[in-house]
Amino acid sequence: MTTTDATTSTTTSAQPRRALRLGVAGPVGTGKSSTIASLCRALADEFRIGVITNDIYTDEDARFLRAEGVLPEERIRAVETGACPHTAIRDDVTMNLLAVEDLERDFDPLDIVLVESGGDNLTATFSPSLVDAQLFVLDVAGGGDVARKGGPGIGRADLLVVNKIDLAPYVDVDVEQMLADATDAREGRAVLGVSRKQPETVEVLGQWVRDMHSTFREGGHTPQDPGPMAPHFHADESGEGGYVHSHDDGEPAHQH
Amino acid sequence: MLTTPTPGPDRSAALLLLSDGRLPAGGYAHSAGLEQAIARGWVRDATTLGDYLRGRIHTTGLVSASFAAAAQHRTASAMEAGDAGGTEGLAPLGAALAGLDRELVARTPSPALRRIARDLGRMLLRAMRSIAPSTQPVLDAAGPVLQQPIAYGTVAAALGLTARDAAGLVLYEAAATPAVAAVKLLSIDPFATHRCLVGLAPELDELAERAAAFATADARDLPALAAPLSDIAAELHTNHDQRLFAS
Amino acid sequence: MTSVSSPPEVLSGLPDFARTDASGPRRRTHRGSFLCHAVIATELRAGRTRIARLRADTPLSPRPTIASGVEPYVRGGDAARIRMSTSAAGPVGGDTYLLDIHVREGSTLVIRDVGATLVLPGPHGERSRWITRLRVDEGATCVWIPEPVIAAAGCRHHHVIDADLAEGACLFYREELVLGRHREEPGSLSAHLSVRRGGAASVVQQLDLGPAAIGASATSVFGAHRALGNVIVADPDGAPGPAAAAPDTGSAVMRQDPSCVQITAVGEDLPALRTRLDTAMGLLGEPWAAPDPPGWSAIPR
Repeated sequence: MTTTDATTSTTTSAQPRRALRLGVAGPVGTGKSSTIASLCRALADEFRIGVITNDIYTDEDARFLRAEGVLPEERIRAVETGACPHTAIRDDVTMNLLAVEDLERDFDPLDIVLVESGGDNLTATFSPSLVDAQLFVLDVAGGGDVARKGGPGIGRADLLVVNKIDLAPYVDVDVEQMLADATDAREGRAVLGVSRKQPETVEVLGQWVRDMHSTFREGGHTPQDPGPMAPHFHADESGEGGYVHSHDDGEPAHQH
Repeated sequence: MLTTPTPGPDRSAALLLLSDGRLPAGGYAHSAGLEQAIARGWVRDATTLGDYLRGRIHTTGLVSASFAAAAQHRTASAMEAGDAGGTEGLAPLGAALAGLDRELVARTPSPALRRIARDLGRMLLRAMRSIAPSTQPVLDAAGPVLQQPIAYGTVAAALGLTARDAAGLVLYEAAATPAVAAVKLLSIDPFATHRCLVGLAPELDELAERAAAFATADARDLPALAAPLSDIAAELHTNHDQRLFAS
Repeated sequence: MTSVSSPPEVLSGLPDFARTDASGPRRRTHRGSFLCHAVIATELRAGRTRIARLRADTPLSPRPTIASGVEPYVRGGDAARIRMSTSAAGPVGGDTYLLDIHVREGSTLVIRDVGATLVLPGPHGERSRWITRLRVDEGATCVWIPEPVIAAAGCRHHHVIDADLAEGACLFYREELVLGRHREEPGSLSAHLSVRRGGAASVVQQLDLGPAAIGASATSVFGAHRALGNVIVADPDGAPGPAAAAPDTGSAVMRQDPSCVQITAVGEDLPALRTRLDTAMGLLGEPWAAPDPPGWSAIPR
């Protein structure tokens, strides 16, 4: 169901000058804001960047980013979500969409707009009608087994960031194992271990965004919907062993 | 070629769609001033919530509903002209609604409330263009930015709803938006908040009748009942550090 | 439901602006109520403002005065100064007071009151009306600082201000509305305020307060307050002060459009209201802000 045209267009061909809209989702406290701060710091010389934050309490995140001084203050805007951060990025994206469009209009031209979700649970992912690509941020302190558990964000976001890897020894997490579990859960999609304390990891993250931006500019990227659910198994009525599907191929919705 | 949907009771599905809180048009992020009223200790429980809602519907609710009815009438008239003379018939709609918009803005002292109503109106028009593509010629003629009550009136007409439908919808929304937000902001029984709405139902209907009677009135003569504490609260809210709701 | 009427009805049966010939209303109605029509007009002659017309109509008595007290907005000191006085109690129920004010091109008018306006119910429970129609022409300035309107218990009063400004006109208006005298139950007051510039609406509002107004005591509308005030400043050189501000929990400064700003404040009594209005006006800056101590009232405080 990638065709959720809630509003006008997020297709790359229709508005080639539009900024790449990059969502950052993930549970509370995993480091979404600091990941954005790191990205801004790494890419500020190459790209014109804007940020929309969705903190549950309006502008805590926006204030953090402003305090970090990584972007001109006026390019960081907060959107209230009425205590429903998941609604704001998924069921009803109009608040965010308007904020993104206003930011793009006010600071035209922008290259990248980062949209930070309010911290939510493992099932909250961005609608493709709001963002072109999305990161899902976990951290090692949340437990080494979180990645293995999967879920739409972990399984199918364009990039999974395992954050705060420098803390792994203190929380008894084997980073290599966690990254391997995540890669398995993601069927080979990109996974990065990142720590602000390890600049080389931030550089790899920055490179991923650079690559995504150039793919987007060339029209080679189609927004993927991680979907409201993880890929799952249906017992097959015809008796040939069932099949795995993921609701991203335009088939009609059905009840589970 | 445009076709004007026939207004009538058979349009109830369209009315339900438009009044559904799940309509993806940004409404969930608003408490219509209630968050600030709670922060100031003005609303504490179901009784004070009920009073808050009653004050709202009898003042700004009636004003909004009257403008929605007036917008419905102007849009429906333009659509009839459009049916008769092609898209040129729709041409005067933008100016007619801009006149209404100016009068409503003059009745909305708080810049914060004007900004919010404009953004909500913009979101509604934008969402409906995509949700109901057949409304697009009408909504394009109406203009990209309208205060929310006027946008509701225009969308209602585009879906074949009446001025009374538009007025009732806007009044219900004026009460239901803060009532639903109350559950997230107060320690309150969700059944009690809806009990407030049921208690107001006869007044909502009566006010909607009164508002609908202004559908054909000159924009200058539409109601202008003010709610000064709501204006002050809206300005306080914009400076509040910790907000769950945009209004 | 709400007992109030919309402006068109409240304004029905009135003579044309400033027209006081024989076809005008009778001075006395069938029950002895007053129906009076006073007119004030100023004009610029030989570079000075003069009073062009001053029509008193008992009990409405506008009187010319000399300058007194602080007049921060009167640039260059040229202005006609009028104080309104009423030679009978009221308005009381059944009365209609009509006041037409015309500030003609380039002239400046400062209007104050001799005392507060106390609105009383009258013997027959009828409504009372005080309607002021104000025209300010191109390049003219009107500074109007009336004393409070006090709605005594039992009254049903409509207080209407209908201001029609030219694009290049200036207006300062400050109103104070009070429900009931000290320790008195509030009367019912419906206050209409309309300011149009070049025909376009800048401020249009109707405040229905008191027992007849359903929902008025709700915290979304007026709460348990007893006093409400508004300040309107329209200045073609640009509205003064911030685009928006809420100095405390009972007042707000709200810019209506690029050349018009409104201050709204509430108070548990008149002194509380005045303090808030003065504080909020301090945000407007020169020349509109009140000097310290503020000198807004005709009555020494």
